[in-house]
Amino acid sequence: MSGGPSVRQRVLGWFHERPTATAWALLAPGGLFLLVFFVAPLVIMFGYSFMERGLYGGVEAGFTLEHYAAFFQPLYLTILLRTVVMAVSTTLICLALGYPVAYTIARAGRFKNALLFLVILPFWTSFLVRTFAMIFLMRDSGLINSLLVKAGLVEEGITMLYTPFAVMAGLVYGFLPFMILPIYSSLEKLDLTLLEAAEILGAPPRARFFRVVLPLSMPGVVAGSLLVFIPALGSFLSSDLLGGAKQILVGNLIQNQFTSARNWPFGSAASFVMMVLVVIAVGIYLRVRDADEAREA
Amino acid sequence: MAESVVEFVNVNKTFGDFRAVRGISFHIEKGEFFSILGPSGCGKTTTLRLIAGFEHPDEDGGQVRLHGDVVNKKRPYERQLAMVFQSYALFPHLTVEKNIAFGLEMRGTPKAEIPGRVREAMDMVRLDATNFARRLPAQLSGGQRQRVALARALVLRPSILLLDEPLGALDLKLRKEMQLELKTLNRELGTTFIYVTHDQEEALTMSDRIAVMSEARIAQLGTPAQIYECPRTPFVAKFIGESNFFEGKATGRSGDCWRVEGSGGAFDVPAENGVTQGADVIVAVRPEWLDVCAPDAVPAGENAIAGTVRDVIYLGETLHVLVDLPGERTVTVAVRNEGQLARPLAWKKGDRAAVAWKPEDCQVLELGDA
Amino acid sequence: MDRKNADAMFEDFLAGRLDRRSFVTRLLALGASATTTAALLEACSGGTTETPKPADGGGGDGDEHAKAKGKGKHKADGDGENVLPETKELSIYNWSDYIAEDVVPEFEKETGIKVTYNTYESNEEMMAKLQVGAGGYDLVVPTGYIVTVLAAQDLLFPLRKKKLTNWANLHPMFLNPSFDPDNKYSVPWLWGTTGIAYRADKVKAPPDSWAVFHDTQYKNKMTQMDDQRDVIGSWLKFRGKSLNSTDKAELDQAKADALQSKALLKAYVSAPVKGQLVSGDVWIAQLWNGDTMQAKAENEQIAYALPKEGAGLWTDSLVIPKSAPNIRNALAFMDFCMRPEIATKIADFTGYGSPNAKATPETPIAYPTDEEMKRLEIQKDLGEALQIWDQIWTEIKAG
Repeated sequence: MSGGPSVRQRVLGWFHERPTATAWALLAPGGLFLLVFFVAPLVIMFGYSFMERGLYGGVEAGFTLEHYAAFFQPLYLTILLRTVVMAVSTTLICLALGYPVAYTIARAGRFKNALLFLVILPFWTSFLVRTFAMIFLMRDSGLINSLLVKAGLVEEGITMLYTPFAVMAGLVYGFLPFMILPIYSSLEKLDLTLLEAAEILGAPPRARFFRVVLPLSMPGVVAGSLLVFIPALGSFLSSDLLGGAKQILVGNLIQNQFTSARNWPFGSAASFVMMVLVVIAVGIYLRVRDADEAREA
Repeated sequence: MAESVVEFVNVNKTFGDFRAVRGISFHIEKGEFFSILGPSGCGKTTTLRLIAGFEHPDEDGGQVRLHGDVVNKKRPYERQLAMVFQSYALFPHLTVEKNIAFGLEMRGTPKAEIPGRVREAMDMVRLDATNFARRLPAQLSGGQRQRVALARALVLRPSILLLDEPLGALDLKLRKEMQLELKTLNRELGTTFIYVTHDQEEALTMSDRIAVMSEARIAQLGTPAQIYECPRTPFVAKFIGESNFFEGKATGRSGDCWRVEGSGGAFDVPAENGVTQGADVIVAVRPEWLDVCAPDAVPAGENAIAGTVRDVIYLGETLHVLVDLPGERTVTVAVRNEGQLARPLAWKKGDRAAVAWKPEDCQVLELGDA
Repeated sequence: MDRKNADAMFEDFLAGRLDRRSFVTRLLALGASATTTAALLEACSGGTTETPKPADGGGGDGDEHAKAKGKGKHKADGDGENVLPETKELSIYNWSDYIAEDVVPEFEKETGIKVTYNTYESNEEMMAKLQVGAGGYDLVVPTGYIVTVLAAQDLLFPLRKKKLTNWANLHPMFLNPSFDPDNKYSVPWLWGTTGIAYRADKVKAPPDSWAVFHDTQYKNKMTQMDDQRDVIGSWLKFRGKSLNSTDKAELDQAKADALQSKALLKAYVSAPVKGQLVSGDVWIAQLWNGDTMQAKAENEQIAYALPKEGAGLWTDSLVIPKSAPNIRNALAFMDFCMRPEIATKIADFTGYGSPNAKATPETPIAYPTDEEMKRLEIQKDLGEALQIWDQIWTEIKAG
């Protein structure tokens, strides 16, 4: 090679000396993407929430707080409350079901990878398709009822579909892997010697779990809970398809505003109220958890 | 005889096809500092875990007794033991205080008593309570963590303390300090210490008795002096300190010595030791029992084999003179350093020299066990 | 003149497979008069037309006509609009289960145009997409009043009737609808009613009133559609009111009725209920007549009833979004579907009524009689009142 360093080498050298610039350069593509497809739409929606409703949908110029005011009526607040309750229930059920599964996988030795594969496998199908599959399973003439009736366990089918139970089942099934994987990740990192130390210090199995395993898997539990709670809060497919659209959740409400109700500003306002509430709730939760840990010390 | 707090009677432990412990028997006395010494894979950790209760002996695999009671099937939390782990195993989510208090809580100590006991334990390991009590393990140095691990075990006032290579991660100076401290604690508290290590120097320093293990068996059990000065097998002789080996066949007896003739040379061996005519004999001679002299100036009555000096190694306190002997072997002679600057050693590379030792300064080894 | 050949040639020319010169030559060869030829050219091309020269002995006065016609021909065509670009693609956005399976392939084969076909489940879904400018669709199929709404937002392309040669096949009943005077934008596609589908073998008597949804003996065996216009509309009709009512009192009454029925309903579900009717999980469902016929094909026991208090009548129409990239092809497709045999296929497959007078479907859905028309009502856009309706619907859903 003749002359001095090539252009490429010079550019790389330039970056090499400036770690900050390098950091920015690496963040730029992803950051730009987020800015355009995440931040910008949010800002636009936020703007919409203060504008006037267009007659045929869309928005018209004008500034008003009426949409936010409208949201804080008993009708919509009840819907919000019901949605929160349902999201919390889903999270708790996922925790109760997911923790033992994660625990078992973490202890499974050479079957670990196979079991993890089974947990992830449903993701290869779309959520919508899986929800429809649940319809086929749960409806009156569906697979479960057919088996139960054939086995002689029940006279006629049990009503499962179009009940709150079906909605919860759909949500739990859909979100369970999001709970299992973070908890598994936490548990896997658990140093088993700690359990031995606890044992020889006199801790029987129950104490070992509650005093050592559980506290150390908390990061996974928190992560899993958030990963379930937040999407559950915004879900609308499950309540429509599995709940028979008889219950309206905040997700359905917002969906309606952008389609049949043609009230985009109200839909935007509702979205933002929900977003703020979620951020507050999650913030409180994390703060409390950190305070708990500090108090332990 | 002092009461035996731990007793192994012909204990066997197998993992699948692998026999980790084969028919070992020993007892440990109250207040003893007892070390289990051996290379990796010899079964020493398994032995410790059998005492702790993390492993149970095979079905017909002998008995493990604590304070006279058979405890084969008992889980660790049912045995009143304490243990310090190689990795310390401090609970990362608990403070130093809470770590130390853990065992007390598990064993139902009244709440009011706990802080005092914790303070006491921290004093014992010389960890400043005001400074360290509320820190998390992540905020401690290796040495500090080690002390916390120790305190966590000692706070229980155990009669038996198990230690699994606890000093391995420390630097040399700290290690030596801790060795002394542990020995002191053992004496002051009267607690029986059972200590597993692969470092023979450590074992010699601290122990009242040592069990040297090799390939799932106990090769020799004895005091440090017994192990060091009278190793029974080539393995023990090699593993503890350094040894030079001489072998041959016993050809004839004269007086109270047997003449042994080997490929390297001939030498005399004291006549106990069950040596018989024509038997294979192998002896170990420690470097410090050898001396270097001119081939024609061997002191009377000493064994000598002539060779060539290959190298002289400076070790500070001693000098190691490596001598090549016929039969392709090299022997190490340890000579005290009298000051190389003022009075340098007479030997250097290439010199013709003989290694000499008194016949009684050797150890006849048991054959059939390497 | 051989009509069929001419038709085929016409299609070819429209699709751009035949150039003008060849078209003219062949047409004349077939014996069309120059006048006819010129007229045809004017109808389907945009831009300058050459004066067709009579090959030999064309029509006598054809010369003069041709010349006269020729005079004004050297600028834009009679509509005074610009030339539509020729393209090779077409994007159609239609309701699901709303076309016969072989219509698109036939069209593709005949014209060489590549068709992309997507579906939607609700007007609002489709409208939202058009409003944000998404999709690049050339044809969409809105229901009745949605055409008005789209037109009001200036989202539609006014039709070039001259290109729609099969226009005359349409039944006069569907021309000049209230939602699109003079059919400025829309070509009727299918029409239907929203009544009650039921399992004749499961119910005691065919339901003849919306009150069946208050009948406790069918608890948990009934569904209504998941659509606020249809549900609230049905209860307004039940009380003899208009399903376009914006009167608060009437709407509150409808809400009360809807809540009463909700307790007995299995679910609010629209098109997907077909599967459950077939399997017998659902016995009575508010559903469109055509979808009911489709379900009937899988289970003979399914039948359809129009409640005596009245129901909704609707027409879905083809319209062209203003932003369509392939307008020429869109018009061609519209014309294609107005052929009697194509219209017949569509009606046969979907089970809905064809607005094409010359169609001959197997199970014709008779055009509503005058008596029936009195009971049926067409949905209109609610304008500002939509907010009130939505609140009522939310209250029903939340209740």
